[in-house]
Amino acid sequence: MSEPVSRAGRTVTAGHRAPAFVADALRIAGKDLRIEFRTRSAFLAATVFAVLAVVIFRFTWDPTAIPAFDLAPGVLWVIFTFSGLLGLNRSFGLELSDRAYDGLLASQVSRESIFVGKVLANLVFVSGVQALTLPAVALFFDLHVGAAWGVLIGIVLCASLGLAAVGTLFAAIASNTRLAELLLPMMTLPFFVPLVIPAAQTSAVILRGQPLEDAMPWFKLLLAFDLVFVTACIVVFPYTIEE
Amino acid sequence: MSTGLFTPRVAVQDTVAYVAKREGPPATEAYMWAGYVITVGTLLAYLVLMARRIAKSKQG
Amino acid sequence: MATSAATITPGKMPEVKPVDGFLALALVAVLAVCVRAIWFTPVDAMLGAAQKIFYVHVPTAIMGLYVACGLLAVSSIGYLWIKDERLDRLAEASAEVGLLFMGIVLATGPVWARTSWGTWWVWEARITSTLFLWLLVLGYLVLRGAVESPENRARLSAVMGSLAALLVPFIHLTVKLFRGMHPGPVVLKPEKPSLPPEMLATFLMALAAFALLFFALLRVRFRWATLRDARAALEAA
Repeated sequence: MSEPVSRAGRTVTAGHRAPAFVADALRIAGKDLRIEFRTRSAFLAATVFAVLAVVIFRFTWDPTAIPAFDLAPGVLWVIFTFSGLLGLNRSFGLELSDRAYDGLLASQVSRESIFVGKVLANLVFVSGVQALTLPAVALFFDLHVGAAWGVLIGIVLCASLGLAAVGTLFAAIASNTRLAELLLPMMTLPFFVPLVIPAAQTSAVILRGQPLEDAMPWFKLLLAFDLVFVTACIVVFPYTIEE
Repeated sequence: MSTGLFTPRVAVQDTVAYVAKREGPPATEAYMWAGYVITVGTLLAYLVLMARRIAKSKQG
Repeated sequence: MATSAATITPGKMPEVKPVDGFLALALVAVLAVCVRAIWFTPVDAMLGAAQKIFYVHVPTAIMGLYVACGLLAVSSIGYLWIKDERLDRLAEASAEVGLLFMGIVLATGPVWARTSWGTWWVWEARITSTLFLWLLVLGYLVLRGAVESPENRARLSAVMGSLAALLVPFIHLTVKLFRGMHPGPVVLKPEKPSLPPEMLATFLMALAAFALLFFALLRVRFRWATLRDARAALEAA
């Protein structure tokens, strides 16, 4: 665990380091999620958007031209990016009013745990929306998933982790700018490509009933992305904060 | 659509892409000029932009 | 019109000309190479005159993709490390000149592709990666434009630049894996034909000329950034 950078001059005893980090992160995640689920507006907006988008895709689809298992993965994961962005937009907006962000920064909590806490909250949000979108896609496109639900859920979690990490970091950057809602998609979509394409390809392999080994290179790419970018974003997050 | 090189007798001669024929290279000068004009034009446009920016910075 | 009362003392403001000696030399070199390529280099027997786009397309790709993006990555990470504002200006300059060069690649590519592959656009590995890099650098420049305070701008864009540097290998891998599943066009590879000596000579000269041009433009763009920042600091004071 990286040691929390103490800007307030506070020293942390070795025994407190790791548990404080995790506890702080969980506390912040819990706070964000509690605020979100009190009103549920962003979650509902993202889910409704996702389901509506699935319906629209369904109606613009010619089943005789493209089989369902060729189209559905693309639909699923494109919707994932945009509904994810809806969720990310709100992640730093929660504190911006009343300058509560400054209060959070001035507290004893380390920057890294603030970041990890917000990533966890976004992870729950994004995978929650995707958990509702997946059945919608399966239903509307008449997909037979069978025993592969477990693998699909695993992909959802891995992709959501990558999206949450990168998206939270860029949300922190964007909150410093004007036009934050426009800037966030523009900055993050190239970063989502190594998430969405492997996720879509793996889903396609599963839906077509091909052996899982075919999807292994894609899955490894997805895991590698998660590993590299979660670490990199934690390292780089403190730089997004003005001294 | 990319034309196959393996069926020169059967393939329809694309007006632009090359399929094996005997009379020499295809007449694609227009494309060459388009490419060079794009390159040089873009560079000149950037130079004009930089000149205007520098002038503006000098005058304030 | 700003009516700043401050006079520009020669020591304070950097001297910047739009076209200095170095850039003039580079422009002449590029012009000379274009003349050589168009009129004094043999025409490719298979592809005709359009193959000559190769002499501008490939050097600009090398400079824009590898050199510009490499500089952007290194100066972003460097800025986070040592916080020297010259690194920030270098990042800004290489992003913009890189965008320019990559734009030329993306514009001349389809013109050439139409003649050699019969289609204007192909989701081939290199072209796709170039498009992504172009969009990434564009996003970087838009971010720079959206941040008001210069210190914040430098810091935040350095963060994005560093992450973008990490992203590039992943984009390459993704595109390669993707293309690996679909066969490419069944035609000659125009990028690396075995070149006869006159064509090779022209290509090497083109590479040198565009390298000169890249660094000359980079220098002008860097110096303007210095001038602009000095002016802003003066007006803020």
